[in-house]
Amino acid sequence: MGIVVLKDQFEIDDSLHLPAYDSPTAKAHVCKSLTDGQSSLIALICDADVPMRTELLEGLKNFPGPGLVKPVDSGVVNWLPTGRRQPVLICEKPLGSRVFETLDTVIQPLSDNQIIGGFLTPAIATLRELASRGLTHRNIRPSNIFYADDSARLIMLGECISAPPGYNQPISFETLETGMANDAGRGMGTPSDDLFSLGVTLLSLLIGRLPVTKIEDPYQFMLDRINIGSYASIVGSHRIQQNMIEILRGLLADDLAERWPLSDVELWANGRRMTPKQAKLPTKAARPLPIAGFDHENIRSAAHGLSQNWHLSGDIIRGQDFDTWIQRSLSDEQIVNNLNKAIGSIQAIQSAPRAEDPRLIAKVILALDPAGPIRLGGFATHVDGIGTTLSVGFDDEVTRNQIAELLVSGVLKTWLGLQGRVKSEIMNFYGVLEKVEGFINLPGAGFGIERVLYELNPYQHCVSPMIEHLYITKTSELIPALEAVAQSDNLPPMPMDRHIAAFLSAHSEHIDERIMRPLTHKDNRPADEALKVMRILARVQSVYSNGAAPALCAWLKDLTNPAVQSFNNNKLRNQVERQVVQAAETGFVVALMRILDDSKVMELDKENYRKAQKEYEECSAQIHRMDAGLEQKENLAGELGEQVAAVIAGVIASIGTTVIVMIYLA
Amino acid sequence: MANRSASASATKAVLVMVVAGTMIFTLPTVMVLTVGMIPTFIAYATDRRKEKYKTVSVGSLNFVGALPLLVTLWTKDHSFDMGFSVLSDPFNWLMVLGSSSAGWTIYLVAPSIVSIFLQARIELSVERLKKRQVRLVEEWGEGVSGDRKSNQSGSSLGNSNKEQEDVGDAGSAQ
Repeated sequence: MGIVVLKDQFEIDDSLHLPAYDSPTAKAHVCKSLTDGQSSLIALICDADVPMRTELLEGLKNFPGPGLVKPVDSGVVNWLPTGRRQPVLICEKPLGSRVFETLDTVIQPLSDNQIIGGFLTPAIATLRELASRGLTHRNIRPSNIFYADDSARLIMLGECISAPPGYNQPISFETLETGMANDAGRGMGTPSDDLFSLGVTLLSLLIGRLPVTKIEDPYQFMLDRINIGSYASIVGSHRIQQNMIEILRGLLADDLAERWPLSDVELWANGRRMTPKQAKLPTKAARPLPIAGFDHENIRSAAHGLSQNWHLSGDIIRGQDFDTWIQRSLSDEQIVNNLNKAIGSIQAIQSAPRAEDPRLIAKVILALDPAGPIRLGGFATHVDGIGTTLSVGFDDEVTRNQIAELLVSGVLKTWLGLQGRVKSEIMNFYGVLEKVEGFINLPGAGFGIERVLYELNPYQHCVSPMIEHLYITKTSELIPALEAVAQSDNLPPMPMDRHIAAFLSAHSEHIDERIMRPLTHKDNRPADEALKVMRILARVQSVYSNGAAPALCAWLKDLTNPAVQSFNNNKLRNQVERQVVQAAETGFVVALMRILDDSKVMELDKENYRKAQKEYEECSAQIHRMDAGLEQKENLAGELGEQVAAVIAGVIASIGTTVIVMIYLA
Repeated sequence: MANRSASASATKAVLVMVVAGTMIFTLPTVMVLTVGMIPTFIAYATDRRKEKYKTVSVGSLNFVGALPLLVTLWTKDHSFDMGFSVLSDPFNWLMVLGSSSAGWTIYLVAPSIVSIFLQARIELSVERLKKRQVRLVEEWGEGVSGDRKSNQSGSSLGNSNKEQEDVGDAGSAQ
């Protein structure tokens, strides 16, 4: 336990916990700035399993005014209490205490003046600034607001980065559209969603506690909100001063057209008063549509009912009753058009195969409630919440399959077709979704649902089991992370898996599919797999120039040893072995690769080996022939010996004859 | 073709007539040579090889042994008397038979000596080839001899082609 330093700028004391500043998914600790000695900071050690809204950090720089707990920086630290690396968010520390310690806390209700001057006015300024920067807070609730100082006059909004948008919000603080989505799939929303949360928070300050303390049945709660309106459902029997009803009705309106924009809230805070308008309730059908024992009297209610009773919905939408309800009881031309656009005619539903039911139900729900979340197979998410839903639920196979099904089902196209105007950010996100649709069914490493995870979440850390605890979010950190793994005792089979491959493919512009494609074809020989991995890691190390990794190189050296052993020439093999050892000691994978990836040397070795084999065979054949000759040497020697004898005799005779002739002539 | 055969026959006839004529005028020489070359005739009779190496071996040395008899005949008196006198000299017979036996000796011993040389040469070659094989095995391993399938079961190589958090120190955090 002790001090942890982040980026040489912040000292975080892991032994000094500040529970008063905790977030649901982050623990607050004492933090000091090393650059200016400022100690009025807190470090929120965030849950590694919940993605942060890192993209907001840049947008919130130089945020003016005292109305928001401002983020200062973020990073990753080695966190000894958990024995792993964890993301950390450095924030300015509110000088006052939290307004509601927990969501169950009861406080002295604030007066109108306190609420308007101390909460609403600075909150409006903050939301206006956020809107001008194209951002949303999506984390406004009583337990995430703080007094700006000890005098408890000014209330500021808490941080909004440590969790996905709306993730920690009770459903009573979410609009109907976002509240019907899963916690992680609520999406970044719009300023209007923030205003709704602001309204419920304002109501909480007004009554001194949460207006809806316990929700026994979220389904019934949402149905009530849909049917009687959020205002009536949330305010319920609480007694509200007359002057506050107007703003609450304005902020808690379910119809987006009726919900007050920031300018109206600002005017109200500045003293403009009008007669409160009654909330406009959804149009009732002539007769209800019964789903699982509940009567649904309007479109959104029916959509919610279908989404919550997935196993029954197939039969319902195929039934004649549903058609009659749509055509006659509802009498809404727009909905009929939507249904025609989404699925064609009712006859098309009835003639579709049963296997198509989930997709049909999802499309029918979208046609009934295009502004609501996309609901498929029992889960619900907004388009920009698909990535965070996958991130939070990646360990759950059901979630993975649901999202994979959603991406390939064509439901997203239906969603787009049913939208009016779509924000450019959402369209960008839709573009990414269209891109990943092609990856999802590809079997190789670097593709599949893992690739989808990293493509949809640009700040997602790599959740490969071997390096998840190191929380790396940048591809430049991969080699040091693998080096740390290589230094441990239990080495995984290979310094690469589907997650690392997908992480690299999605997050590195230097690693393209050409480099990753060899991993698609699984090789039976482990050394070949290791060589493929080595090529990729060599590329990563050379691109990011992040120092030597001798342990990783030693690991790769061991994995590629069979490849070294495959050199046929003993001398060459020994030489390569020595070179590999030397290269591994340098810590640069590219040095290893240069030795082991030399195709010319390998080809030459193979060719020479073939020649040597042929020469050996020829030697054997010659020896065999000679052995046979040795056995027949008597025959051979007989003939040759007689020849030799004739020659010798001839020579001696010639000499003898010459000598005799010369003797007698002399 | 017919002309060439006729010409060869005519040449042969002329040659036979010349030899026969010569023999008629050198009958003492023919007698001594015929008797002195008896070992050669025996060798010829027992020589089954087409090339007649035995005949050549015995005959050439037999001729050397008979040559002094002929020279004596030619230099002293070329007559039948002198021929018989030469042939009756045991020393001359010793010379004739001794030389022919030398021919026989060479003919009989040479194959054994050649066999020894051949064996030595083959053994040297085999030794050299085996040494080469040993060197190949040393250089390429047992696989080169075909004793095992291949050395190449491991892999096929070469088929293709700052901002930094202290991740490396993270081991200490674990």
